[in-house]
Amino acid sequence: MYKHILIATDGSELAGKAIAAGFGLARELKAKVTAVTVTEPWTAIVVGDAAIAFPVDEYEKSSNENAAHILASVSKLARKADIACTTVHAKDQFPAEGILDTARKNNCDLIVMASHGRRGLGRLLLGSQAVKVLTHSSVPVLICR
Amino acid sequence: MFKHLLIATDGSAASEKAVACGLALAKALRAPVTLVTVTEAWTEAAYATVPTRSMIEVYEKAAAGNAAATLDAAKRAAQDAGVTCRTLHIREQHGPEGIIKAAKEEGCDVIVVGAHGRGPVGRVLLGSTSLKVLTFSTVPVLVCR
Repeated sequence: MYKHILIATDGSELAGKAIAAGFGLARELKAKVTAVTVTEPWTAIVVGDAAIAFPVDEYEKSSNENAAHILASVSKLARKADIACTTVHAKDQFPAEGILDTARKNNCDLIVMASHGRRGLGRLLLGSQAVKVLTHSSVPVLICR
Repeated sequence: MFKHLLIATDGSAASEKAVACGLALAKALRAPVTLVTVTEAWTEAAYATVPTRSMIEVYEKAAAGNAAATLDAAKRAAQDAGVTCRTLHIREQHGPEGIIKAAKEEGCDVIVVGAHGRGPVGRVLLGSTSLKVLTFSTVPVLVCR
């Protein structure tokens, strides 16, 4: 069965469901867990005049802080659930690539993620990054909604 | 964790992976499964001709035969794995709707599907049925590869 589960989170409430499902499975299957949050490249977020107002080093600082905050929450939940969980901040990638890369690098055999990110919910029937991960993953993917 | 898994199969090689994957998970979680296969109604759209009663009967007999064969194979796999299972043939529905309906009727808390089924494969990395199930399901969906 699964030996190393990768849980992807963007800190959203829906991602919380993926975390709960991932921890639940890890407990029953006695699997290792790695949690990953991905931050996009500055160039993807900031365009045109905004680039002047929000320079790259400020973006990086803020993005690192957000990631650290998200991963700290996961670690806290992991401690409460008595699950050993490693955390990873994948930087300068789009979420799907970051998730797939992290899964590959860590030999994860199951990816658990939410159906939508923060931006998609309410706007899309199925998140774009979820579709990308599903399309390119070589391991099973559990989509939580 | 998951208490009742729904595993959808259309008898394809990709479905066989989903069956194996779903059964392994069910066994590890000590949960029962419902194995479902969906067959569509005869439609003029598919056959571009007005049917006679006998044509429909031939089709439905073949569809039922295929469904029974598919479910028998999956049931044997479940028995070999020591997993409690029931089988379900949903008729006259499109794949995704049938699968989601089965999950609701059976009270399943997770749906297991392959990445694609019998449809045109090759470059299709995520089949249309799997994608639709993911999009419209209200319970988590595990996509196996």
